[in-house]
Amino acid sequence: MKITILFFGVAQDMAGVRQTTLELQAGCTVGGLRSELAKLFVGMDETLAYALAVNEKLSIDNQVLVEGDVAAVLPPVSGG
Amino acid sequence: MQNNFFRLTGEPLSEAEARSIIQDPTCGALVLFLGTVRNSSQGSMVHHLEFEAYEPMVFAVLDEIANELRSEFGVMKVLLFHRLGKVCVGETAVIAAVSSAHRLAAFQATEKLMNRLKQSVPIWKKEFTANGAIWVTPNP
Repeated sequence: MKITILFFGVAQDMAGVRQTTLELQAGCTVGGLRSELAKLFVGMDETLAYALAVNEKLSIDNQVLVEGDVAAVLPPVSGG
Repeated sequence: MQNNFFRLTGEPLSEAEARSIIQDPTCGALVLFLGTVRNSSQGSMVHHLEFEAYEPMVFAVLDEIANELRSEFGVMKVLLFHRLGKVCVGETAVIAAVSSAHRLAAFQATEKLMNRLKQSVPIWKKEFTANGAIWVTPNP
């Protein structure tokens, strides 16, 4: 299944793009996506302490992704 | 009745506009906080900042925060304007403003609004300094 991934803040520098599409196995969870991202992009791991939003809502690691979901990598925020 | 006023914009922010928006005949207190761009950060000279946001989530999170402020402090209007893109030294990057019947609630709610902005609203800042450009990591 295809999932769209959006990158913000420093995650954008790590990925080298603002967004991409990943092909994941059916039934992949948010935690599984985190493992994929850590393999693909240097630094995009637990040391970044990022949140993952799915379809504009904060997710938990055992949430199951479905075809067409839009996931966003949200590093610690720094507005203001 | 809509009493939340949130905006992300690439245009300069106007405190006069913010003041006129949060003014209310039931309120004796208007608190406006302006966050401006400092010329230095951790010993480096800052040229400018750039902000980006996950816009749809910003508005959803701000709505939740405004609800919290209303139930905790009983405030009337809640406003947050934030710049996106390039913002130069001295410019206003953020306006947070709250109106309430009396001053204490407005002061406390405005402070909490800024604290929550810095903790949980999906906006990111990149600093452009003499030593290069870096994404800012959160500080208290």
